[in-house]
Amino acid sequence: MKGTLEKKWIPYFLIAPTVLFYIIFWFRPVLTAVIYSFFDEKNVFTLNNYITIFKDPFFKQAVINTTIFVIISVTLEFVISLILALIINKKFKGSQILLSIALIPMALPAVAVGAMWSSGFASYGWVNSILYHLGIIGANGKILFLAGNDFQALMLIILIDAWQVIPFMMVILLAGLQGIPKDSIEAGYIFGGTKYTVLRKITMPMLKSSIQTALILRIISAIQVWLIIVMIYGYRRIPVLLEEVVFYKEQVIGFYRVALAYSVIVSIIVSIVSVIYLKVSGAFEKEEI
Amino acid sequence: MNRVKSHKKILSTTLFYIVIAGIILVIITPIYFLATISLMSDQEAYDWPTRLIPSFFNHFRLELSTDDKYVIGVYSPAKKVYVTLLETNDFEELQTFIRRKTNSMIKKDLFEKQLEKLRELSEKNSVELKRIVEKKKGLEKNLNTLNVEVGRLVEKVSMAEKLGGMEDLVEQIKNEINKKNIEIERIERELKKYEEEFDKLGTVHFTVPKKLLDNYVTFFRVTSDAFPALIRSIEVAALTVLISLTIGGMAGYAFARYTFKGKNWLKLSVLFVRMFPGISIAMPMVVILINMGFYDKPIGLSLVYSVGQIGMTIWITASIFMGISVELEEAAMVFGTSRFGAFMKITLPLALPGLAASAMYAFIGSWSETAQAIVLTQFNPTFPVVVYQTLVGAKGLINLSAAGGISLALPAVVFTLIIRRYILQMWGGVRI
Repeated sequence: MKGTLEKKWIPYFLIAPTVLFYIIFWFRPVLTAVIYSFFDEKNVFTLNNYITIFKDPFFKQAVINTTIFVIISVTLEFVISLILALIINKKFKGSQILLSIALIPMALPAVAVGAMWSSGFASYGWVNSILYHLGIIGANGKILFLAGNDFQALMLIILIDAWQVIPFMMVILLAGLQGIPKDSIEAGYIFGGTKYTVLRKITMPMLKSSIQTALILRIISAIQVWLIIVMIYGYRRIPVLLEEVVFYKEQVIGFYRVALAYSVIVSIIVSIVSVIYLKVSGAFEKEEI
Repeated sequence: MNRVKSHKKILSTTLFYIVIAGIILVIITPIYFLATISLMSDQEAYDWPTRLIPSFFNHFRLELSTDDKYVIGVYSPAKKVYVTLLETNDFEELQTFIRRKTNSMIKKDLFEKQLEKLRELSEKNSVELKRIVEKKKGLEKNLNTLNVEVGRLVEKVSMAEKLGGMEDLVEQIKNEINKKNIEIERIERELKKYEEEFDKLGTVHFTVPKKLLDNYVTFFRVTSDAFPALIRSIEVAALTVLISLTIGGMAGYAFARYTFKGKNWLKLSVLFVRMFPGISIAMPMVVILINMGFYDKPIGLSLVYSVGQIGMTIWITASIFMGISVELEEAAMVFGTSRFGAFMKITLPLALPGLAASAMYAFIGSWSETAQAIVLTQFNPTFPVVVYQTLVGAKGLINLSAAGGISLALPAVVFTLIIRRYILQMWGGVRI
């Protein structure tokens, strides 16, 4: 039949622009970056770009900081956003208003968030002012939020980041929750399930794919955190992987190829972590829809 | 039994709403303060403790100084005193300085009237004023000496305590310090009394409304790039929407309707594309864009942004097309329309609201993007980059960057709330 013949090439015709676009504007720069990272300015093969990075004491610190950041922030954000999604999904009075409000942080551009918190955590900032007006601190008891040690600084960044990311994860989970048919939940209750068992045995397994989506997107972006850190603390106060890339690119001259080598390292780390996650969570085993 | 249950229910409902209120508070508070600071003058924003609401008026105080000069001060609600701002005899200088510092525009005729009043007042009370000023000077001198003495004594005590074994001496000095402190308090009270008297006899007060949106005006005027950057950002976002929606929308349709080789890879492409950091793509892209002649131009930026947006658009549009049943298209084809015709006449109109939402989503993503724009622009920055430079750069006044941040955030938030209904639907169809 004519229809089947048509069907064979149509999908490829439809996806061709996407593939082409990816090749020109994604694969080509990636390839350029990888190749450049192995050559010096005179186009001689060298490993010096990588050696510079491994010798840099900030590299170890960046790896440690990024690891801490990813583990704590992803766990924290996932737990809170799951709880929030379960709450909003209850459809109580005003749940739509709560959803609208919860979407605002997700919509805020990173720079606006930076302005918000750097004005907040400055010693004369609004966080201290609230504490003062609530009577928690005195006029001379300003808390120097930004002067804490490295670990405290990292925790502060995690909190700031969570404020913005939780709504995003919540939206994905909420969308998943709303896709679960009411009947299956009701069936759980009819067969004598308590709230907890229904959540564990029915809701969570049916939510699995949304959880996977939320977590993988979040893990990838968590490893690549940098802008918010630079806006609050500046460069090299809390080194993380991507912040170091930008540091080598923007702040020092002549380290362009080192920055590229750094990017390659970062993307290798991201890829390994994501592939491990996708394997463990079983995303590869699923058949095509 | 029933009553206990209903009590329990009321309790848990109350608790539930308290938690909800808490969540809303956590989300709203920072946003509220960003907006508040964007409405504050320099003087207010850096005044500790910052007030919780911006003021709408500034209260000024004028007093005469030597050499025909005058001193202007503004009332600080936080410190509850008048803070001296400037001593001058030039009105123009005063006007610009006060405008910059307090966002109030003092009109010339108002000021001259006040100055005349002040001169009359000073003339009338000149004898009294002279006495007060002299008294004040004497008291201030006393206060200084006392403070220095107390400082020395405190030092002595700490030294003695470190050495130990001189309890009597320490006790004696401490008594002396107490005595001096009481004296200091007395002098301060007296000074305050004279201060008040001086305030009544030798100064005039006047109130000028504050220009509430002055920071926004200043932000767009001082950072000369801001307005062209705004236009450029809109251009970039519009181009990104155009590119990613046509290219990604086609793939999304293929995804929803057909099975083909590499479908799973296409689905995961949104992840693979993100694995190489956006900023790292931007670095080699500089050279590629220069070769294409697109560097530092809106089209160049939108091409780079589209890489990240296309994958998302595929996910979203696929879920939209999946929601429109194939039978409708097939029915149209039975009546003799081509596949393309069926798509144009049936599916596209049905998908239009969803596609519009997807377009807005891409628009917001491109509008807010900062990291790649920092690398990919040089003389023609986008709006987020301008705000970023105000925030991080040397200009760094918090109320100005707050004004920039709010102007940047407002369209993004409004768009998100418009497509609120679709956002859940969009993500509902996404499955990895």
